[in-house]
Amino acid sequence: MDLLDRYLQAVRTYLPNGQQDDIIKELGENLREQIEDKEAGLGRPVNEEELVAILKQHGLPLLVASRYRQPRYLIGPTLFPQYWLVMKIILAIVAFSYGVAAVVMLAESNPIGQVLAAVFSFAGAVLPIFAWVTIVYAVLDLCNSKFRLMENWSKEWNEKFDPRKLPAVQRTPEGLEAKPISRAKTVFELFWSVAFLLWWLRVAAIRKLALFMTLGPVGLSDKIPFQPGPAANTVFIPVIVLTLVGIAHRIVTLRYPRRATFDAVMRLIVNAGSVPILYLLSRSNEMFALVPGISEPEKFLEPMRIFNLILHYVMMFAAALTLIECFKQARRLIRVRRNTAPAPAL
Amino acid sequence: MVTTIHSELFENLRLELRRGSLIIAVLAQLRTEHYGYALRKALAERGMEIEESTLYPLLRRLESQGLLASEWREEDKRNKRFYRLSENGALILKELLEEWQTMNASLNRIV
Repeated sequence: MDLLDRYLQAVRTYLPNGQQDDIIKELGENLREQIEDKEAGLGRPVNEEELVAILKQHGLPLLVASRYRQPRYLIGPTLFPQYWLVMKIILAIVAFSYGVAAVVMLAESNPIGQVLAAVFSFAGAVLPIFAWVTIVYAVLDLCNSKFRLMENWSKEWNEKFDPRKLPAVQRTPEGLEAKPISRAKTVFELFWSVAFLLWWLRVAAIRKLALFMTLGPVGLSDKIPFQPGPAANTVFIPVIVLTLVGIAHRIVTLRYPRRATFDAVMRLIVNAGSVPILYLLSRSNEMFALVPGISEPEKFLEPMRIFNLILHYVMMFAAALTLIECFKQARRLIRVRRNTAPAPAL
Repeated sequence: MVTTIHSELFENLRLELRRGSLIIAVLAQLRTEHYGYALRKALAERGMEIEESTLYPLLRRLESQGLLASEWREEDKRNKRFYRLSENGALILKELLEEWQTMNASLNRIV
């Protein structure tokens, strides 16, 4: 019976304090009876294999012991949806604040290192907030289960509840989609549109950041031997206009996330405007050119040629993708219009 | 893959369906006094198979809820914990059986 005692000892480890002796005594007696029953059936004592089979059938010690405990969780199903919503709101606010702070720091020409350090401190700032919110909700949940707060309140609320005071059903007017456009996605797009505009307008710090992200530490050097070529100057104003249209589109979508027709039309306009610009850029052999007056220009001629060749194919690929996006938005527009058209009279 | 999901889903629903019925079966069987292992055998003989690791904690839970009473007693030179239905348990069982019969009748009319 050494195996049985070892099994009971293992179960005991995980049992709730104060009940261990009682539970183990009862469990031991039941298992001994089961073993004796088996032995009576076999007409001989059980061997080790048979004993192992009985104990295995009874279950893993940890699982067996866990069934003697009340189910426990940090935040229960009653409060969890609210807790999750609060977490998402906090994450969105902090992420947005960090995004704005990073753009402001760049616009103020702070060193890139400082800006990156500030951005990377995001996790360090968010984690303690998450920990505190979790602690608060865990305490609330504990109080709720101890004093049955929600149960008592829900009785009170149920008495006061009057369905006639609920807001009117929101009908989906023409041109609107039942499901709103994701605000998180719109904020993300708005952020990058503004960052791109600042880069295009040659705000030095943003340009440095882009160079850093493309070229690594070399991008931070003051002696970058190339600059945008004549092709970039040709499309300078159209790009600004299209980006501003895109920014206006995102601001309006943030305010009215259900305006699907507006969203599809604006995307179609911006994409359709982008196709000729990308096509023009792809046709150019000199998207980037050497900075005039640079010493030993011949050293940079071949890398410059390869860089422009790569950009040439990238622009062609981007033009093709944007064209596909145009068709997708046109299809979406037709679908939205069809879905929201008034039903024919019978 | 689909078969696995189907059988998992069925198993979950089956367990959910069994959970309440097990309590009724245990309470009803304990109108006569039993100790844990004997109760398990008695239930199995009547077609209600139940794992030991489910039954023994359930007995303690029902006792802590005041539906069962228990005592340690010697039988066949061995100390055993005997459970029986308490007065309160008997009242609850009566109500549960009525509820079960009503539900059963309704289900029979539906399916």
